[in-house]
Amino acid sequence: MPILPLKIQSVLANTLFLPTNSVYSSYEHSLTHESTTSTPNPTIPLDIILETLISISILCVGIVLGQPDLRPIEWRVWACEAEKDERREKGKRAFEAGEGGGAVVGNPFRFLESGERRGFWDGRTKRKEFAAWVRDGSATDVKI
Amino acid sequence: MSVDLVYPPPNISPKTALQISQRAPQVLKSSSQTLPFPLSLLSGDDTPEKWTTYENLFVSCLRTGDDKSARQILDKLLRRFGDKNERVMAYQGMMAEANAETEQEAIKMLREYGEELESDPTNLPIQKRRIALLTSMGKIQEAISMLGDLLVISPTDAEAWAELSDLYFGQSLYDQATFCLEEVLLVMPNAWNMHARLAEVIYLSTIATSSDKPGDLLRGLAESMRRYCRSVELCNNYLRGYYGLKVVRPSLLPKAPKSEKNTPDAAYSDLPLPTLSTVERLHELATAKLGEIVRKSAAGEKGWEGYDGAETIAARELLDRDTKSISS
Repeated sequence: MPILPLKIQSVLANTLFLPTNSVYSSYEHSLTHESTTSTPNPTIPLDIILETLISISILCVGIVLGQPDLRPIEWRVWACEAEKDERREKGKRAFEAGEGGGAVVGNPFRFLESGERRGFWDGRTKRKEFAAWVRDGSATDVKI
Repeated sequence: MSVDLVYPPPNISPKTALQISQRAPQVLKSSSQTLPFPLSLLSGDDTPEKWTTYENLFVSCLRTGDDKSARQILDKLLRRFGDKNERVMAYQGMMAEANAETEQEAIKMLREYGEELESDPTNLPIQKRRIALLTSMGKIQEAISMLGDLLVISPTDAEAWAELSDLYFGQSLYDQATFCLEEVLLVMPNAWNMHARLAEVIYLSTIATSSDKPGDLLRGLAESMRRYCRSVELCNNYLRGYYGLKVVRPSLLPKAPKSEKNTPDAAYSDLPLPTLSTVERLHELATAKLGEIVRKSAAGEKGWEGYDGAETIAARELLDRDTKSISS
């Protein structure tokens, strides 16, 4: 299960107390009424019913609202963000690693581009290029 | 700006490579006291991210000539994965290659790779190293034939197909380059960047070879346009795809048939050629999209950051050229 944001988490933790409280109250109520009256169906007072209903609905709404954004189902929408995630800094990406499953960050097909194929990485040429860049004053980027 | 070492940006410039490799001593120092391999699994220090970071650092250090840090990283990889690990073997090769400056040293490296492969012909990382070394020595023909052998035994290796395509393209063998990219797309049909790459190769080869054959020209340009369309279909707001659509249009426009009925060469392909109105509508869409991308990424709107600066500049120039030709 994805981790909820901290603020909502604390609200939900507090709200969890209310249904517990109402269950306990109704138990207490049934005990006291059992001893005094002999009616077969002792009615639960209105305040306990209201407390239960309101706290449960707050919990439901809170859990739904507290979820992180869903990942797009459509490939093209996801691909658009994944493509831009390539150049975004960590923390500003649309999809970070490990969030909502999958460790893929950026375009999973990037390794097919020229210059990105690690298996065929040409260290000798890259080193020469770098040396040339340093000689030329290392001010501008060679690759523009 | 600090670069994410686990997921670095693409097309690393020399400046960024320098920044990355300068961080190597610090990263190495912070994780110097680790337990030996089987125990390190217990300490929670042995994460895939850590080794990815090391690999990225290693490549940058080799590029900038920081052999000391590269050696340290290689030692760590050796200690963790052993010297029989194929990937580590390839990294050892990369280190030796980067230091093999003369032709003789490179030939010696080739011989070592050859011996290695004789004892284990299935070692794909070392096969790839040998091909890369041949390419760097300028022996493209040999590299191509070896890559062909590699693809016979491992025909689903998309990386190797893409590399072969680039080698063929460098030799102006466009049909072969196109074929290789089609193979890449058979293995990975959703790779939008490879669809765009195929479109680029088809466009350039069509312009270069069949400008005097109107049938081939029209067919090639239409095919290129279709591939660009597929790339923008797979990836929303894909700058490279829309840029291509806009570039193809001026050459295609005078030749596109007016309506679908008088498509001239049904013999060439079973797909009908795009009509004039289709080409025009695609061009309008591409112009609108490029304009939107350039405008919004320049303004830094939320969700529109992350485009390559050089690419947006090129798109802006293309749009400017368009407005000039209209106004003049």
